[in-house]
Amino acid sequence: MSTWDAQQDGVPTQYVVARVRDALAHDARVAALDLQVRIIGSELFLTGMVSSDRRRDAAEAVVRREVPDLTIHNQLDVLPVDAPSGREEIS
Amino acid sequence: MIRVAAVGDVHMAEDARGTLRGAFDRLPEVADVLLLAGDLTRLGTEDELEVLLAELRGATVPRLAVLGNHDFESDRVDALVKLLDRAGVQVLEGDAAVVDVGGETLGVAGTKGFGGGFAGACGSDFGEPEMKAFVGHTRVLADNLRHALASLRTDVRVALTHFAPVKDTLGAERLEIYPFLGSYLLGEAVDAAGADLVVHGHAHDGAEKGVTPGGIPVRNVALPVLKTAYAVYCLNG
Repeated sequence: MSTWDAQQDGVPTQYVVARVRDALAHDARVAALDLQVRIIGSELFLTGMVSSDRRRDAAEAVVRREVPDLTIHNQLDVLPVDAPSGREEIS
Repeated sequence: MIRVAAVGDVHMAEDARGTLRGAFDRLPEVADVLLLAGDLTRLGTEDELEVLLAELRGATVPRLAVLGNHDFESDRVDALVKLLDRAGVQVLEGDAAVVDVGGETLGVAGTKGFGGGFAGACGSDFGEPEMKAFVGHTRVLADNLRHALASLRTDVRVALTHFAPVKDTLGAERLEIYPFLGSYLLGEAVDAAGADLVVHGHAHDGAEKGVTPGGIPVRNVALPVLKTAYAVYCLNG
């Protein structure tokens, strides 16, 4: 089955992915345009980077609200924010 | 030698309070100036910016910034610029600033920049007014950047943008969204005016290092690319 043919409740999967990504962009707790959403069968994989554990949890909540029937795999990473250990000489 | 620290896309908000403070407190030990490459906030609100300014309190070096697309989301740009100015962070948009670093001078010209794509696969200011406005906006900002860079008579010159000036630093970003990530017009402006370094953000899945067609080093300092609180670049005039 191609991506185009895959359906969620009669809606092609790619439209569901677009709807979820749009929700992630517009929910004030997340406001992220760069998170990746992939749906395979009844499973949704959420990947990318966020800046806090709270934002990671909020993103999952947004996805769950949009597609409550899917099994969600929240694979978001929280960004490391340590000071750099080195520097670059630009020549 | 001038040590330039840079980071973009910190997307600060209350939930991330405290995450950057430690690294910024150490910044004056390793850098002479801090450049912020846009997307300072998540939704462009004063509350979010106040969180970032608290994080920055220990970064007691000259600080220069451009805004990013997220900083426009709540239509509070004027208020954000005032807050930044009051906190000693100079916002650049089509203009330049000069910083004295131990007798050497660093000039930074900045613009948010905008999209449109890259040479050979880009939008044109042709057809509908919306399309003309889209590409025209980038063209105006790029022209302003060129003039600002050309006005600098400093030992070192850096261009600071949010949107990308080249494809090199887009890394793993999907080809389909390149036109929303930057424009060759920004790179062309930098090549025309000359610079020692270009720093930008916006492309979270990008790569750190690139070069303009004219041979000027480009660095994508988006936080998700660096995976550290900032990068430090050393430049000789």
